[in-house]
Parts: sequence; C-alpha cells; structure tokens
Amino acid sequence: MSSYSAAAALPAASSQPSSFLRSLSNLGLGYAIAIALGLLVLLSTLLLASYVCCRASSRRRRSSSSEADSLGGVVLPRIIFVPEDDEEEGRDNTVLAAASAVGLDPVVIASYPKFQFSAAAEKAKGKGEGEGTCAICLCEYREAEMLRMMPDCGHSFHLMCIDAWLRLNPSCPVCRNSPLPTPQSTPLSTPLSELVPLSQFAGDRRRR
Amino acid sequence: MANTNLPRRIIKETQRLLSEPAPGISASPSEDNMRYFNVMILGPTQSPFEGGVFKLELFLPEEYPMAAPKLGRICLDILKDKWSPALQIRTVLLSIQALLSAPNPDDPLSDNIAKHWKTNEAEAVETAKEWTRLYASGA
Repeated sequence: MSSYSAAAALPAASSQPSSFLRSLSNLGLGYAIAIALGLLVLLSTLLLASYVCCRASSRRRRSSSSEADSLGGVVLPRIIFVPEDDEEEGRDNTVLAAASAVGLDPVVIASYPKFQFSAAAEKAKGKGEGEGTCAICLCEYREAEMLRMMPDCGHSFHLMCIDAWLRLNPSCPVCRNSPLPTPQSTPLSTPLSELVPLSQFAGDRRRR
Repeated sequence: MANTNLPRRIIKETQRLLSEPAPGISASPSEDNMRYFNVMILGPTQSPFEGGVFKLELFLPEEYPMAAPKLGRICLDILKDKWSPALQIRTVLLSIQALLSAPNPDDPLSDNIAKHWKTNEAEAVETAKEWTRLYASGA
C-alpha cells in the first residue's frame, strides 16, 4: 500500500517541477524577465528602507550622545570659540581700516626681507660706523637681533621698530622712499603689494 | 609719574642734547616731566632775528617717535605729515633754526606777515628786527 502510494506519489512529485517549468516556458521569456526585475526592485527597496532606518536611528543616537556631552561640559569649547572668532575678525577689521587709511598692510610688511644682525657680516659688507644703530630707537644692534630691510633703498632697522612705523606710514624713515609706487610713476602695472591688501579688503567686506 | 617707562630713545636723545648741544640751540627736560622740554633757539646770524632768543616748549607725545614732537604754532612740514622716526628733537630744532634763516612766505603761519614779506621784503625785515628787539631780547 505504502509502496504503491509512494510510487504513485513519486511521479506526481516529479511531474510538479516539470509542470512548473512548463508553465514558466508557457508564460514566455518576457514574463520571466518581468518577474526577475520585480524581485530586484523589491530587494533594492528593502535595502534602501533598511539603510534609511539605520541612518535615522544612528543620527538619533548621535544627537542623544551630544546632548549627554553638553551635560558633561564638553559644549564649553563652542562657547569659547564663538567670541574668539568674532574678536579676531574685529581685530582684522581695525587693522585693515588703519592700513587702508595710511599705513601698509601687515601682509605687505611681512613680505619685506628680514635677517638676523651679525657684526661680522656687517663688517664683511664694509658698512661704516652708525649703520650698526637703529635710526628709530637709536639703540645699537646686538648680535642676532632681528632686522628688517626696506626693499628698495636697503635701509634696515629693528624689525619691531620699522614694522610699527610702516603700519602708520608707508615710507622709509631715513630716505622717505616709499615702497608703494605712486600711480603716476607706474600707470599700467598694479604691483602685488597693492593687490594683496585690496583683495583682502574686498574679502573682508564680503564677509560682513 | 610720567618719567616711568621712559623709552630708551628719549633718554639717549636727552643725554646727547645736554652733553653736546647743537650751536645756538639748548633743550633741557623739565624736572617733573622728562617728556617736556624747555627750548631756546638763538636767532641765526645775518637774519632779522639775530640777537634774539626764541623760547619754545616741546612735548614728546606718548607715540613718539612714531609721532612728531608737539611744539607751538610752527608751520613746518616735518612736524606734520613729513614726520619720520629717524628725525630727532635735535633735527627738529635745527629745522626751526633754519626756518628763521630762510622764512617760507609760501607756507605761512600768518597770512598778513607773509603778504607783507612778499610785497615789501625790506620793510618786513625791519619789522622782524624790531619785534626781535622788543619781544625776544632774552630778558
């Protein structure tokens, strides 16, 4: 009985997939492709949904953790940084305002050559007496002091002394040689030294 | 109080003004304020101001030497826009002395005197001599 039923069942079971395949082939290749595509779309939708869910949950987790941080006092740096930025910007503005009024921009001043004083090097260059003294503070240069040289006339001074003057007035204290060419002398070319402060000023205005 | 934190430059200038004064010029700091100087300039020889002693007050502002010394009403470019930190009290006073030798009626302090000087120099020079005798005889 049982063997019969098994035998009877076998052809039935084996006939099922073949009939399924047959039905598939009956349905045609077009349907097969449509089903495959549908499966793909379903799969990708599921993936996308899970991705969105993960992100949302992780963001929720992160925001809750930053809340915890703020309670722990880690939010303090933000409070410190904000006014510091403002202060820096304000200082920039005043410096730029002063520079645009008469003196040179600190960026331009910093572009002038600077060097360390060395008595031996000065003697080698054959410089006479009096050139070892800063004309601004009237103090003699000491070994390894930082000096700055005016680019055109070559007069040098203590770095701090000449920088303080150039911020107020764009001229050499000794010969009044101005490192900024007058518009009449160079009508066609705009020197870089003028371009730099102008572009900075424009950027500064845009920021405000 | 004002003498604390006196820049080395001012000390050096003062020492040199006292130890080797320029001819016809004397400048001595006030006792209570080292930035305040009593100045005397002798009228240059062969000028209408010869024989005169011209007293001035000079003050070194906080920004000195980045700003010019403060003097009375003297029309001199180096005391205004032509100031340079390479100039000193001595050079400023020498410039004033030179101005007495060669007045500049094109950049006057007093328009009336400049007009007088330009229209009738001989008469203006006589007035200058008289005023020097009257007001700057060093009394």
